[in-house]
Amino acid sequence: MSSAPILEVENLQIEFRTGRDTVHAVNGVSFQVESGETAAILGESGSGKSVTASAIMRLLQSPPAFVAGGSIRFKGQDILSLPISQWRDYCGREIAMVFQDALTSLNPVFSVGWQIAELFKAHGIAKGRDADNRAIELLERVGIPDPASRAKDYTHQFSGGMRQRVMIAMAIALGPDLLIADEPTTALDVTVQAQIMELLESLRQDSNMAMILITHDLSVVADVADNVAVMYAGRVVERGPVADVLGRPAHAYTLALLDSVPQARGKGSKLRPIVGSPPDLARIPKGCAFNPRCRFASDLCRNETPPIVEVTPGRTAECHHAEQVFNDG
Amino acid sequence: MGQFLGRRALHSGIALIGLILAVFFLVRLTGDPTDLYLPIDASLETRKEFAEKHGFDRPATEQFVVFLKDVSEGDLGYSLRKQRPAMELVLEAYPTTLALAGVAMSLSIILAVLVGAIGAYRPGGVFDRISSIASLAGASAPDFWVAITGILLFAVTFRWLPTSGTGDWPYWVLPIVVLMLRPFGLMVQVVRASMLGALASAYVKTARAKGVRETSVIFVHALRNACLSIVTVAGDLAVGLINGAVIVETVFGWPGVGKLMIDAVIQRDFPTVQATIMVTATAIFLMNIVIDLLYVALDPRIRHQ
Ligand SMILES: Nc1ncnc2c1ncn2[C@@H]1O[C@H](COP(=O)(O)OP(=O)(O)OP(=O)(O)O)[C@@H](O)[C@H]1O
Ligand SMILES: [Mg+2]
Repeated sequence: MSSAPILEVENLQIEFRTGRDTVHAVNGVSFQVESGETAAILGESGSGKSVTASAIMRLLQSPPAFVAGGSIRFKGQDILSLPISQWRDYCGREIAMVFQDALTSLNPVFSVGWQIAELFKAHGIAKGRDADNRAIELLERVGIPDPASRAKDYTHQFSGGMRQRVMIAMAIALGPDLLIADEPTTALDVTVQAQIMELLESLRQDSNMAMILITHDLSVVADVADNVAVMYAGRVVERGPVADVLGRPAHAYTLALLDSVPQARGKGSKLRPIVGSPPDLARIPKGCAFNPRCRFASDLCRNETPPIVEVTPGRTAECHHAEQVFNDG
Repeated sequence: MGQFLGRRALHSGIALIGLILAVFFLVRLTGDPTDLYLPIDASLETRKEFAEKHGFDRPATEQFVVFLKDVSEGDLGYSLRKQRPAMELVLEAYPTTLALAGVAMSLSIILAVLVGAIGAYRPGGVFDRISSIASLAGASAPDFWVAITGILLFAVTFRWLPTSGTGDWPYWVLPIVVLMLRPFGLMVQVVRASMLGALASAYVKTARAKGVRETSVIFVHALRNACLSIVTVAGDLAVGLINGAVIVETVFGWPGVGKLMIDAVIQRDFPTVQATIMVTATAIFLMNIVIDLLYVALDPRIRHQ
């Protein structure tokens, strides 16, 4: 953790301009990822996790998506100002992504071997038989039995877990320094989920790759991540080392999230689902976006945007009542 | 697969028999060819002789039995008009039609894929809007009207192109353009719609995340998926092109199968009508098989069922 962060996202703002409404999907997200670490992004559905990830890969379709502000630096390079063709040279080679639904994310009409080999061809690293053989090696590395013959198969011939392994093989093919995994296990059976997480973690450790793990699953975050960023309504509301944040949250939303999940906070604590639903991102409430659902909410929360509070060194929370939550939560 | 093709062949066989029946009896409703082929003042004797020679004196059902027997021996009869085997005439005319239709179809597919794909890449953009309007106009313009206007404009007024007949490339321009209008216009719309879907798909996102170049994203990843619906429509249009060829060949005096068919119908040359229709129907059947096979080759999900 001595050198500069591999990724710095600063005050990123993304909006979708559709018809009359502007959906503010990401409203000033900031976080960093150090090389070699696993950073988790945690948050409810619709909080802007995938949009943030897609913005980093520059995969958002514009229109309707627009970067309304902020910057993204990858290895010190401001990527949003790079010509897209130049950024594509980084994609796959230095930064890669595993998507949630491998069934739709893999091309149905090309063999999986071809799709992996394509990475070597697209980046001018290998071609022909050589590329094919490397694809087979990768399939073997992600634990697909009989890789030489499986390479000729198509997506629909694989089980969900095997498909996600193929996706992972593609993502690690060129040894990227940063891997973004967007809910890599949500589409899978519980038993398979654990295997995939284990695979990702071991591959990450082997090559000392950094990883952004986007997930709903608190136990996965607790198991594998070093740092966590909790997102709500397009903002990172709390950030810090995993053990600290999950052990003793300082944002009312993080606390509510932990209380809503069985066993997240040890035995004996009561289950308390978060009331209400996430805000309409075209009409985000004034003050703190979480105030209508928050049991700590005061007039201050309803009127003023909360400041970024440094709870302990290296930990921040955007909550008017951070201290109160931190001390008696 | 074999079973599928077998079923397909059986269905087509039944359809072909129905078609032959209909054609055989319908052409005979158009009138007696004797009047057309003999001088008005021909004696009753001569008329009887002509009718007997071609079997027109017997009941239509009996003629049909004889016809079936001949067909089973590979004999499609003699053209009344040309005094040559009808099959020979058809096989002579076919290459000309196939060349015309083949060039028109290939050009339509290539251009439609390019135009449709580029339009879908920036939906609502200037190129997309112009190409959408142009393709709609092309698909809905009546081809005989376009053909005649084309002749008047480019052949008569400007004298850039010949009015009719066949020869080197200037003779091909107008017939091909007229023949292309509908398939091109319709296919641009199909390509555009299926490319819109393909380009918005998750696998295209994956390809970009892999660092694949944008031209490959469009013309390999997206187009290869869009091909499935393009092939289906292209197949239907290719069949429709045979109908278009009848009009175009007649207007441009193109010595193909379409013109042969029309002339034969007008002159009550029954054996030639029957031969052109049987050969055309068989060609359409074969083309459908090719399309099915192509479809299976293109979609691995069907292949493995
Ligand atoms: N193309 C789009 N047009 C309009 N709004 C969009 C578009 N894509 C995303 N959004 C909006 O952005 C918001 C954030 O979406 P995002 O996919 O980032 O959520 P998420 O945190 O990844 O949720 P999940 O856990 O369900 O994956 C959503 O409310 C969604 O409505
Ligand atoms: Mg998501």
